[in-house]
Amino acid sequence: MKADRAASVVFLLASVVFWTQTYGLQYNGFIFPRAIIVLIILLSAGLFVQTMARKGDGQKSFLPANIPYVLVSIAIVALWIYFLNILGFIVSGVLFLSILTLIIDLGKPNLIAVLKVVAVHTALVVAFWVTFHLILLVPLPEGYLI
Amino acid sequence: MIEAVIKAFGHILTLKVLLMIIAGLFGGLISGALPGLTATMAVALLVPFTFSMDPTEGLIVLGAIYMACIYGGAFSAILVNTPGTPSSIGTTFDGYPMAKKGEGERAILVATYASVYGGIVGVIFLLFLSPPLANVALRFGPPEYFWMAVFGITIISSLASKNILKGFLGGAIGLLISTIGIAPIGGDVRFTAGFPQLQGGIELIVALIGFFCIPEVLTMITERDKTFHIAETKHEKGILVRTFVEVMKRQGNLLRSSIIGTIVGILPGAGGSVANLVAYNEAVRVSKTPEKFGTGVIDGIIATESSNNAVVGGGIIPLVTLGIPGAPPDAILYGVLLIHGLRPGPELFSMHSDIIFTFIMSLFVATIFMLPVGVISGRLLHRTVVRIPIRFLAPAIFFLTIIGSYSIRNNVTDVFIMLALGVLGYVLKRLEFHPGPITLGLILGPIGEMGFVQALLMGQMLPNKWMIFFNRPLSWVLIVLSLISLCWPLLIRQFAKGWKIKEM
Amino acid sequence: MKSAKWIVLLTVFALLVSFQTAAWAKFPEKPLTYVICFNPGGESDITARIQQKPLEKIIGVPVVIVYKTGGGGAVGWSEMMRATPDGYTVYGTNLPHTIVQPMTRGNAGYETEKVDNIYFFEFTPNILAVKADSPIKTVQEFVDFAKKNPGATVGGSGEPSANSLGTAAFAKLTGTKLTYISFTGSGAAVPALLGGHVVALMTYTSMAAEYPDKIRPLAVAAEKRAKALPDVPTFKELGFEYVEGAFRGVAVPPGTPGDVKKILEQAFAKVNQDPEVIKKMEDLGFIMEDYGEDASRTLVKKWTVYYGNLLKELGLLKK
Repeated sequence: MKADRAASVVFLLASVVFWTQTYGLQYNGFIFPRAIIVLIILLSAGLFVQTMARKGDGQKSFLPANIPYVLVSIAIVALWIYFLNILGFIVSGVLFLSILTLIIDLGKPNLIAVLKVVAVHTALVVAFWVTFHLILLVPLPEGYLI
Repeated sequence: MIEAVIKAFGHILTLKVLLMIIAGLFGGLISGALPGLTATMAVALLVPFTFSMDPTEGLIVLGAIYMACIYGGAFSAILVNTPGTPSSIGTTFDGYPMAKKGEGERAILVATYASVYGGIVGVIFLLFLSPPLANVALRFGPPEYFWMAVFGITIISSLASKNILKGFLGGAIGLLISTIGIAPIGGDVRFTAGFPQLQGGIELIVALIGFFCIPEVLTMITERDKTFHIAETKHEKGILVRTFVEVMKRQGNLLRSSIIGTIVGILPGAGGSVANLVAYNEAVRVSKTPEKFGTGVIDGIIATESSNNAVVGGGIIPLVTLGIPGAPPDAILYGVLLIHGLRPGPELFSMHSDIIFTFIMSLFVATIFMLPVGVISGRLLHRTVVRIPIRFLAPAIFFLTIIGSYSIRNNVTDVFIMLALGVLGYVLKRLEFHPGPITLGLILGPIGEMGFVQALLMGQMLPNKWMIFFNRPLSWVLIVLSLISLCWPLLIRQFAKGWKIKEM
Repeated sequence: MKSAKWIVLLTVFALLVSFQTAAWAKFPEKPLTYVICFNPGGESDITARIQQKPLEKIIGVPVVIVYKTGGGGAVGWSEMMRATPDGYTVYGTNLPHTIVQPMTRGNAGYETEKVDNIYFFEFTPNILAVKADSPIKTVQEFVDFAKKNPGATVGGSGEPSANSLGTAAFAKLTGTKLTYISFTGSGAAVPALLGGHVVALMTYTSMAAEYPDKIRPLAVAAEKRAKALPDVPTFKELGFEYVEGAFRGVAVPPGTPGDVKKILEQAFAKVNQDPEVIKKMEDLGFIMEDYGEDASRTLVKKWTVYYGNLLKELGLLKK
């Protein structure tokens, strides 16, 4: 319930922000977004009211178990995307794939396990690179390294 | 026409052409299964390779790729909850739950049979009913496209039957996100917060990957104590035949969904993404057990997969009769025809009937071959993916999502947007917002807005411009359909209550 | 000492020779990327594919076509501003898009003057067209119709674009009130005309060439008649001072070295003389042009003035 209530407030605030962005647009440009924003405001208000009306519904808790792993994974992927154009497709791919695997894994890895992980990921990334970049000529992110 | 058909088969049933078709099918399957590679892109990618072939062969290969690509989207939809192409969004609703329950192989087989059925129906319509159907497409003008978008939005009431408020809120959010970028009329730049990269708006595939895939991968990570994310399927004997019989018993669903797919395919501007959801909605509506949808019933997959493959045949109808592509990949086929000096339109049937009939029949053959190709690849894929432990699978899926979202516009910004939407999607999932309505809003937003504003401009010729929405018979058909679609779940609930009281 | 002089001369000679074989003279060595800023299957894609094979033969390396769509081309062109100026990536450019987008948008991501056009290869003039079975048979009849029905709908591709601004210019010229309805592309505007949802189209010659029996072009907005439409008069012939259309060319990122640009410019010029290319393009309604780098700059300047004034009158200038 609390999560729903907070969400409805967030949506209401976001709607206001979007509305302010519609000034300065022509009629043809703002008419549709404004209609949608009004809709969102009405529905968010409705959601808010709904949280008042119903009592605790047996809703799943908002925060998941293992949330540190989730946040760390998101951060790692964000870094990975950032480094795509710096380290290049293959290097950043192998590096971050391995980091992710090792973090998700249970228990402490020894050197052999780490090397196995890196090997698997290297094979995977290189296979994709060969197929898509060399054979099909699909552009893949390029950086200073490969 | 019979001799033309027989002649066409003569061209096709040679070893060289058959091998080309099979190669095209495999290529299409793979690009369909990879989220981020759409049918349009796969076809576009392979056009240069077809320059060295003669036009007929080039078209045959592209057609096979297209058909298989739409089918292939079901694989990732079922195995990792990510529609491989927007045409398989609805397949995630029941396909993924089936995989989690250990029925993944059955789901894949259902998708295969349904796709082949739908593909054949689409081609049959293409062969026999092209001219009259094409003219129907022309009658759809801006007001009709607007009402069609409205109809599409009302589907949400079926998709989100548990909490309609959240469903429509999600849909509205999707509609708003779709307005980011350049306004379709007037060219205003909207909601880009100063980033020129956002002028292109939020690309649909990027949003699909973000909303469907990332939340699932993050969920996988939270369940890292388990080793495999979907239940293993015991290899059952006779599952091939058993599932075939099961699917074939659902003729009503199969036929209805395929026809829906063909019709939506004929309409330029609407493709498999719209068709599969409309078909799903109809399947829910006429079902005796609507509440089972979303938990893993094969009717859901049958509806989505047969309709999306019917779009292939349907989209080609306006292409060859009027020269107007019915779906995005058809635009590429159009370009290919033009480059080879073949002008789409009636002359194509009269002057180059050979090429056209060969192409159409090749689609037929390709669809039939899709059956063995799909069954073999599908089962193989399923058995492989099921065996990969989460610590390798989750990062690998991230890897694919990065490639996928990058390859659409060769833009790292898109990859960041994908991640951002993924986090948003995860948050919304925890809040029990289903991603289906949101993506529906994303897909229908541009269609609806363009129809709306264009129609208002058309209305300038009338005394009251708003009347343009209500003075055309075709519009009224769609308005009535929308009302029925909107109110149906509510009416059903009332009826159900009514029955219960009577029984007491 | 004589030998010293010879040594010096030989060294200078050797240096001169090695200078000739320096990196740029070997351009190109690896594949060329041809970026199209519009959707596959569209006209920019088709013209690029017509050029692809001849271009590969002339410059000797593979040419890979890549798409960077979004914002009517703006996403691709703004990326061009930051791309590596080594000559291995060329971008398809279009007028008037690259002129009017920065003028009408707060931040298009690029400036018109910074777009380094090295060659414009074709011109597609506007045409005013109606359905083949429409009662309107001449431009004058259309003008009369528009005067009796203010707000008459004219469809076209994009906004702002040659079609939309052309409609505004034509309306001003004839003193009529026309309602322009923009569609995502010419391919989307034609069904609207055929279905009777708009009265006429301000579209490109290529549409008349592709749908010869379905649409009736009333006039062409060019100096001379289009080869693909020999029976269609120009607006000028009919007494309307109206010339406008879209130009298609290629550009490179700013900072590309001059000799690289020259090689590319000559390559594209040669492609434009290939008889097969000419035939395919003219059949599709395109008019071949030959604007080298300097001529392109003059061309852009001329149209910038024209569109600047037009946009100012329409109140659409943001800058």
